[in-house]
Amino acid sequence: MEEPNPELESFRQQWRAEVSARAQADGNGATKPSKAPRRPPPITSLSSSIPLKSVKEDEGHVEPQIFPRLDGPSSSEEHTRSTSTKEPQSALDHYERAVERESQGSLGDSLSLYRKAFRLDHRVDQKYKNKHFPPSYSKHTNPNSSNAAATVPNPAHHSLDGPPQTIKQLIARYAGLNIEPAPPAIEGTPPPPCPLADLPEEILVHIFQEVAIIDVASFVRLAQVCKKMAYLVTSNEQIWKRVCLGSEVGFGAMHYQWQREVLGGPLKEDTLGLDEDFDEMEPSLSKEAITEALLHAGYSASWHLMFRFRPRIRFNGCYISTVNYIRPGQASPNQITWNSPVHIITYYRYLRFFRDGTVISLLTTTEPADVVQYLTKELQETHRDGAAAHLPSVVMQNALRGRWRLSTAGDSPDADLKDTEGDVFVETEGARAKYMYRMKFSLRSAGKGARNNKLVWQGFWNYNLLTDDSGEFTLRNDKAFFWSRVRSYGDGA
Amino acid sequence: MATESNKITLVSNDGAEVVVDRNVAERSMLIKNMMEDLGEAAMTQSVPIPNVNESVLKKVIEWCEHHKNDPPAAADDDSDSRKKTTDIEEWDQKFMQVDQEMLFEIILASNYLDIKPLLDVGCKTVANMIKGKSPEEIRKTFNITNDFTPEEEEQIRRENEWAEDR
Repeated sequence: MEEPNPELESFRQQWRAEVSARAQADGNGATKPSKAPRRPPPITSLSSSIPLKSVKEDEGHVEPQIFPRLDGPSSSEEHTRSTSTKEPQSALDHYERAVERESQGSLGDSLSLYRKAFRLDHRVDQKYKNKHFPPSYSKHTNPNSSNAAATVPNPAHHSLDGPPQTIKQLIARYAGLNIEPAPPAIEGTPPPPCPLADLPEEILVHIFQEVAIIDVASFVRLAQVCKKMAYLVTSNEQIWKRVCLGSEVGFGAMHYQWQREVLGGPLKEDTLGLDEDFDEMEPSLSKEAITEALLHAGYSASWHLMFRFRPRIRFNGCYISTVNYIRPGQASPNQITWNSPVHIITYYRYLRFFRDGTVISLLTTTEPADVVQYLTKELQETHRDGAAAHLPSVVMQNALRGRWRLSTAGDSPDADLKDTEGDVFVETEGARAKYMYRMKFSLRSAGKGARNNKLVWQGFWNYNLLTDDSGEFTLRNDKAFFWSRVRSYGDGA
Repeated sequence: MATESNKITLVSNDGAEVVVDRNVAERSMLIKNMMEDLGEAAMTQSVPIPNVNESVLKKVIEWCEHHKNDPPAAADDDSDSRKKTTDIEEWDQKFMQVDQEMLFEIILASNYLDIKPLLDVGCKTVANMIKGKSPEEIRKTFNITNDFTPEEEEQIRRENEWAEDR
């Protein structure tokens, strides 16, 4: 009776494998979250009165929400196309895709991908974590990936003593080396010229400094070229000092006091007294003096570490908060259905900071690809009061003007100098003329190594200019902002 | 001193004599200081420039000629570097369109002759060549050998990951 049927046999095997995988999953699946990865408790419910500590502890589990490089519609289309052509195979692939879809705001897709991922492997969330978060972020320390650990000093302890010894020692060994010219392409022929190798170190430093001023990322990338350059990039404090003090990307462009009126006009001497809760600071140290003091107090006298870890705002991109929430809907009374519908609501908040101390704030349901390139002051003016509604940039008609500043010692006089930085205050005009909005964020880090690419809500208030009342918005659904590079901004206006 | 529009003779390391106006030559702080030290005696004899060959010397003098009326650079090094712009003016960009060897020769010569603005332009030009390139492209551009082991390279890459903008 048993006839060999290869097709049937292979189906059976597949079926058995799935059943056994599922049985295993059910075995310890009682406590298993079945759909989504573990998320931090809603940060949004935190008001500024909640101690910072709790936020810091949660950081280890934050999902890396990475937005594609947003260069405009063409390139982001390319991005989605490129990802969707490749079919996910393993559980991890599914999971990664799910995270990506979730960060883009398509919850439905991501949910089904999460389901598939967990059906294939019930421990996929652990795998994902091990892959995307260096072990120092999580509790399971994997001894043989010390490399990964080296890149991520534990944020909870502000361990700013620099990267662990190993990398320091490694680079210290490169100190006396020279740039090695490339060997000749064909043996016996003269080697190609390598003029960089013949330069005295002071000129090399000069060149590197110019690179650092144009583009810090290019400068840091030089470390991967050869040992000598790795040594120069890592240990030359003169260049890092220039980067820190400069206003290209450094702290020279940070504002610790309001620079503008809320609507963007030049600051008047006598403001309406709106700032009484924040602005009771005694005439404090100059920006440069604070920088010097911090260098020694907080960053082991290293400009390199200061640039890497000191809170700062980035101008060459924008901060985006993707908010998803589910609202139960009502089943249609005319139809017999088993379950009631659910609405998935997605909206976005955008913040773009400008060097002159102003900011554009936009709340919209339009996706980043159709928004970021329009986040400019010119278009904001064009669309003021709903004008020019035929243009694709019409989304800017709801953009709000505002101003920003970073926190200083004056905002929390009792704290350590180092801990006083890291909060961002934003004040914008309201949706109606009589209101003003105030937001407070903490600058945080998301993902591997990267810094200052996340804004966590600390509070959101409205202020009625006519009646002098202020009220707090609840932040039940609001999510943190994540920074995305936007090429069209250049280095930021 | 300003009225003295006399010429001086510079001699390159390959023996070529180049005659230039004194105010042009004095873009070089090295020559300027030497002139001040030697006084009139220097005007009568030729000045050897032992580290620079003829073609490079001519190129450097071409630059000095074009920039002879520039205001002198601020003496304070630190304040100068902070407000310095990263742009290179158009004439200088064209001037720097030379092969790599010449470019580095000009940098070395301007360093030796102490012509800071020219050194700056040269370094900025090289910086622009480095900008936006991958480590491998930089090695190719400048003929540099990768002397890392793969493990070291990976370690360095991880260490510097934070600076890459996503």
